[in-house]
Amino acid sequence: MPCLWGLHNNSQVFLDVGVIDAASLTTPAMPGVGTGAPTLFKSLVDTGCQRTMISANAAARLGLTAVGKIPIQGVGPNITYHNAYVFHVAFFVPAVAGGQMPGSGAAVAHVLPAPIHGGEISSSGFDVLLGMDVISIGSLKIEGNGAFSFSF
Amino acid sequence: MRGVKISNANRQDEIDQNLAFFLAQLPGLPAAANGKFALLRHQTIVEYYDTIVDALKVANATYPDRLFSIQQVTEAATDLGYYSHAVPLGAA
Repeated sequence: MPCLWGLHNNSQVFLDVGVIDAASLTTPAMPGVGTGAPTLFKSLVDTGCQRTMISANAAARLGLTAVGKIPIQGVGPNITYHNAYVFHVAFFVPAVAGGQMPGSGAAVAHVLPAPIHGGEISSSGFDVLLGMDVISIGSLKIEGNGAFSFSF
Repeated sequence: MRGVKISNANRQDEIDQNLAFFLAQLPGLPAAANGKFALLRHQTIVEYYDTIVDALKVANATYPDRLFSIQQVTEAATDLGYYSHAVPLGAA
């Protein structure tokens, strides 16, 4: 089971993830390990968020094509409709060869096979809001010593 | 998609107009469509699909001008948790 890890700041967990356009597919996508080099974006891991979202800046940078709109509810009762995209999320797991220390080698991209149907948010210090549709595929561990790990 | 010029403005107009149509139709859509993904083109629901990927594959193969949109048949909105409490949500 691939595992990645890092440090949290006692209030937020940030993680670099790759994003790959999936909206132009006409045949089933074949994601897996090491398929291409996804563009990396800073993501905020948010277990209170039901659906992974992507910033307008990241969508533009990737040339993502909106496929519709998604209803989003904020603090109040109002619902707003945000452009929706279909994309794959990829995690980069440090490759640990025999006798190597973690972090000393290259990273292997693990592209999640299930496409994400996520909406657009405005940019605010990160480009991907990583929601429970992605987090729930694995195990997220937040530790008191300032570390976190995510295995999937 | 040789020979097909796609305008982002036209595509966004199609998405916006389809959404307005879809929301007007939503209360009267068949219960069997609940949770499915509606493929829309020119303010008409073409078909329902079980997954967004199924709808997208058919749409991409059928409409090379990319003038379509896909809406999930649901009245439930997505909660963004932390983000929605920290950042005012306007339509993005």
